[in-house]
Amino acid sequence: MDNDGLKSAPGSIDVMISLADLYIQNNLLDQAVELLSGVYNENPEEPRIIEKLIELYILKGNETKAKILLQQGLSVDKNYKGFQKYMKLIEEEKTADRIREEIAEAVEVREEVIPLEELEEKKTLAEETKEEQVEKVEMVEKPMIEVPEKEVEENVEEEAGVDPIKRVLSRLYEIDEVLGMILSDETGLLIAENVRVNIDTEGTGALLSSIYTETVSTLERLNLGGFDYIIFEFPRGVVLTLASPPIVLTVMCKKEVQEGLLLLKAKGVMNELRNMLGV
Amino acid sequence: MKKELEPLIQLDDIYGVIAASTDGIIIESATRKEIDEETAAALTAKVSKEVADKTGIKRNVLSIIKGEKGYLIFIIKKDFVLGVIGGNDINLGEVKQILRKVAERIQGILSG
Repeated sequence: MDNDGLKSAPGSIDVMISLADLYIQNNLLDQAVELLSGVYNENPEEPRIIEKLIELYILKGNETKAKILLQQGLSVDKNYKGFQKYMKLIEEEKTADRIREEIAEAVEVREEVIPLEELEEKKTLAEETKEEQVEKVEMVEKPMIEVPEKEVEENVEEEAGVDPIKRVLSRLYEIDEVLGMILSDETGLLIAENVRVNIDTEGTGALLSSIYTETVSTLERLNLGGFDYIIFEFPRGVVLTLASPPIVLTVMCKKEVQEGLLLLKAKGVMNELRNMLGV
Repeated sequence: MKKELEPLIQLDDIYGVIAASTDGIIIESATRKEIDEETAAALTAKVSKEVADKTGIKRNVLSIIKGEKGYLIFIIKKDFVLGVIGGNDINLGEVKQILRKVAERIQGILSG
């Protein structure tokens, strides 16, 4: 028996999207992202979910994530109208504010708004146990989408969830001593983080960016060329900072880490992030 | 004191070694290539102060800063910072090991 009933029930996805719309209308963007992230994990190639997440991230002002999801959506279905729409907006170089306005207007004029109570009821139904979902799907004779077992396992293994940047960052966890990573811009603003320890990631990212800025000017004045990386060996741990303007990647590790291996892996991850973000 | 810097300055592709006070004044230096020692001391102290101030860890921090054309490697000790400037062909493992030893010896001398 297919153990993923939600994947095979297009109606459930419609309900989730409608519920997300309602959250958006009520300016509950984080709840909408949380809701759709779960659906996305079950249905990573469902264009409607990807489209809605793109919309949400634009509304939240996180254009980077929106662009990454758009790239991913285009790789799933380059002809999907929703993706074409966002491509066009980006090609027209509309500012994020203008795109947000357009989305907000579109949300307002949507005709059929399901009352919150009804949506919550449908959501509860959609979230029933997987076996029950499959039974319901069979009862209404909706076609099951066959999902190869391997693909299901791979999806389960995606510990970083919906965020593609976090997913790339998590590859550094192949090194046991790695405790976490922070991706920020040159000014210290946090882009993404993936940490196993309890630290103030925003503060740490800002702090390391400040050291990075100081370092860049020092290298120039010493005629040592442009910045490549910094490794700090503290008494109780190692911190590596790599930069590829405008992004700065910081990796925190236990002191036993093999720095050569760490550097190689981190450079690979950095290259992937650069390609992903188009910088 | 100059003798203490010899194990470092003799390593391959090292341009210079500088021991400076935490406020950037040269304690001792040795160079093999033309570098402005005062500027190097001031900058090394400045970066190390930035690291110490921002992280709150004020001693025994070894930092490796890699530029496209070479390295600035320094260790922050209680009363001073010991820095090495070198090209891309240095043996990083060896430099780190000797840098720590030399720094310990200088700390011993300064604590006298």
